[in-house]
Amino acid sequence: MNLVGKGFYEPVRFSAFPEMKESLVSGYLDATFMIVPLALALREGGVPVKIVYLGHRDGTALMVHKESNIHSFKDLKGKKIAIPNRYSNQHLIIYKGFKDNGLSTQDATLLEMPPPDMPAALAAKAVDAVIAGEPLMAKTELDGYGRVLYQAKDLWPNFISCVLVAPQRTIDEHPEWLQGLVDGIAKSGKWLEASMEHRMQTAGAVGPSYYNQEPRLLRYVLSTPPDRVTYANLMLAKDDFKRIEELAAESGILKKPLIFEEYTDTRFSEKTAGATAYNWDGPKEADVR
Amino acid sequence: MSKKTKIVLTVVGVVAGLGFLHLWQNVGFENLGIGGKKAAEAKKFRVGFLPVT
Repeated sequence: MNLVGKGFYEPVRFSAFPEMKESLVSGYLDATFMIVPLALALREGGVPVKIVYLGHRDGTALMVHKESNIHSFKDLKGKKIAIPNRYSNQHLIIYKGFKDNGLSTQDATLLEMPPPDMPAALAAKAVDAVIAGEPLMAKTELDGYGRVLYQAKDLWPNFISCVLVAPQRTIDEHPEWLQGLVDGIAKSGKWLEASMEHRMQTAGAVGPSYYNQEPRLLRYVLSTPPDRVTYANLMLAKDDFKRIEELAAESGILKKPLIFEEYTDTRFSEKTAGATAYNWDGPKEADVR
Repeated sequence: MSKKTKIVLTVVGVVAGLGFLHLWQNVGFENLGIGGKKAAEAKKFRVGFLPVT
């Protein structure tokens, strides 16, 4: 096993979702990790892609500047909030949070911003709050200016953000390659959840290679608290998506209801039932360049 | 072999070499179906991701 694409599977890193979407639609990518509502919007637009597995659960935080007087959703009224994309689950969390508190997203200004730009925007107080996937939210904490307002799991238990999406072409022509990837994600997830030592080993390995981030930051994300990001239960479940469908339709992100059986292909996920962790000693120096 | 024959063969060799180089660099043998099996074996499965969870 290697971590930097020396093998059959080649990771392709993006800094924003629109470019990733174009690469998927153009056929450059054989599969991609993508935010759920964006995948649903592609389906709604007639793009032949399907969700085949989850990437992780939880792993999102709503951050404010530590000097701010924002301590609840109600305090976000009239504020500027940066979200990754209109078609993101983070957008849906904000929508739900406002709704649960008798407000609406019209009561604040939502700005679409690439997640890597969010820490600097919060530090400069160009926005009042930011919400995106880790490790960028934890970075604002470690750098001394960010404060957690809510972890996603506090607002939405078993929160799903990123899922594995595959074009129908890949599903039809290379199901064995896709199954290999899904099996690998399932076994890696089990391995990560097996011990804190595994999480720390992974942080040291993927920080400099995949994420281009300090291992210290990933160690923090994977341990503080230990369930900040979880990888144990990544199989597709209809009920998880029902909530996303409802909120996406209600908030106007989707124009019409979608059918779970049409936008997912659960065969790959079902084959991971009973998957066990890799029998692996962890990444070696040679694996990470 | 006459001097003329040598010159002709040299010119033909250079032209063939340049043609080969052009096909390799600009067209790609996999697109012509030459060495297709090897090219298919070299294909990688590209998986996109954003460096956020």
